[in-house]
Parts: sequence; C-alpha cells; structure tokens
Amino acid sequence: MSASPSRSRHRLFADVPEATEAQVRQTARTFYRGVVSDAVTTALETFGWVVDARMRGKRVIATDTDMLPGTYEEPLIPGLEGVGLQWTWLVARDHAWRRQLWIKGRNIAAGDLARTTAIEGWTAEEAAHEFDVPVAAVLEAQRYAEVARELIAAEEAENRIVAQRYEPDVANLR
Amino acid sequence: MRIYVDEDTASDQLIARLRSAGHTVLGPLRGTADGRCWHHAQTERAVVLTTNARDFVALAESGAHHGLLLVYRENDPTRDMTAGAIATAVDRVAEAYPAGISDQILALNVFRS
Repeated sequence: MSASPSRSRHRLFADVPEATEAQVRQTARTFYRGVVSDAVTTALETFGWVVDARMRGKRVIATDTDMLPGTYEEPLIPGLEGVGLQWTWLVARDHAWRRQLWIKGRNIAAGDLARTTAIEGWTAEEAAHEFDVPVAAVLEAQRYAEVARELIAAEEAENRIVAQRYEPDVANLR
Repeated sequence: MRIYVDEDTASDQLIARLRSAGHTVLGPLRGTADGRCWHHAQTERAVVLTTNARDFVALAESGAHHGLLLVYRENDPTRDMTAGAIATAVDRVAEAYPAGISDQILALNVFRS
C-alpha cells in the first residue's frame, strides 16, 4: 500500500466539523509535513485496507508484539513506518479505562511522570532520581506526553471529575 | 498519619517531606496492581495517597477502609500541587481530622494553602 498520488490532481471540498478539520491538519503536520492531501489519502487507503481485510473474513485487531502469531498481515502505512516502535521504556497495558502508555515494570503512567516532572520543575535527571527510573524513561515519557497530550489531559480530567466529588467544605472544618 | 503513598505519587521528595512532618510513610509496592496495593495498605492500616482517583475510589467504595486522599491535576501549572503543597495539605487534613479519616475519601486539593 502506498500514498503515491495519481498524475492528475482534483480539488475536493467537504463540509466537516471544526474538530475534524483540526484533526486532519494536525495529522498532516505530524506525519506528512503539513500536506493535507497525503494525510487524507493515506487515511483513506488505511480504511480501505481494513475494509478489504474484513471482506476477506479477516479481523483487524491491535495486540502486543509478543502476542503476534507466526503469520499475519500488516499494512505498510507511509509516514507511520517508525511510529509505535520508538519506545524502549514505555509499554501499553490492558487497563479498564486508561489508554496512555506506562513506564515499563512500574505502575506509573507515562503522563503522570511527565506531569509531575513539569509541576516540580525537575530536570529529567532529577525526576529519574526521585522515582528511581532510568533517565531515558523520563525523556521518553516527556516525548510521549507531547504526542499524546490530549489523551493524557482527558485521562487527568477523568480523575479530576471523580476526585472533585470528594472535596469537603473546608471552611466548616476550621 | 500512617500513609501508603501510591507509586505514581511516590517521589523521594514527597516521602521525605511527609516523614519529616512526623507521618509514617509506607513506600509503594513497585509494579504492583492497584488492587493489591490497596489490600496491602488496608492490612497495614494506612491511608492511601494517590493521584489515581478513579481506580482507588472504586476500591474504597467496595468496603470499609482506613482512608483515601486524592490529588488531582488541575491542568493549570500555577495550581497543580507540588510535593511540598501535598505534604502541607496532608498536615492540614491531620489537623482537621484528629480521629483519622477511616472510611472517608478526601480530595487534598482543597486543603492547599
């Protein structure tokens, strides 16, 4: 599969919600140097790959690398060749509601480590010392926190909503 | 207070500040699932301190417990609690609840100075 454009180019207009436009432009900026047509074309081809696999009776799933069977099909998606493979210290985990990555071997979400580091104003070395994790793990968590900013913020919001149900009236305690 | 600090919150600095304020702090069980950490804290008769509100509230609501203190991120760098602010807030909870906080869940953010 490739995103090679045909020779003749056509202009396509579509009315989409503001959030969709933002998402398309963000995807183009992140993976396709801002070229919207490449982002849309690749997204459509990926969708086509999913449909084709389903039409052939296949299921399209996500799984951990060490759970992969001996034979499988995998789409080659231009622009995403290295995505998901660059983490050494971050791992996905089966969790009831959290989808962000975690520090390998620890019960610390990557976003939590990056957030605490920022709140305290620590360097990566200081944060590594504080939580007894490798400096490289902190650096990866900080990098991940940049690319998964919205996901991390959403998960923080879920915790905040729950916690705010337990705010006592402090004025009456004093 | 006797406090179990959850792994996501347990910086050396926070643990040191809580200890210097006179609290007994149990270090986290590393890489251990929340349920086992919760059970460990209850066995140790300790209040749990965590930023993971959603999972630990669910555990706390499943039965009697020795208290749960929650710290939430406010998505505002000027208001998010540092280790020092968390330790100060814990002191204020200890003052406000001299009999302890068994079976209570409290958001620490409102106890900040």
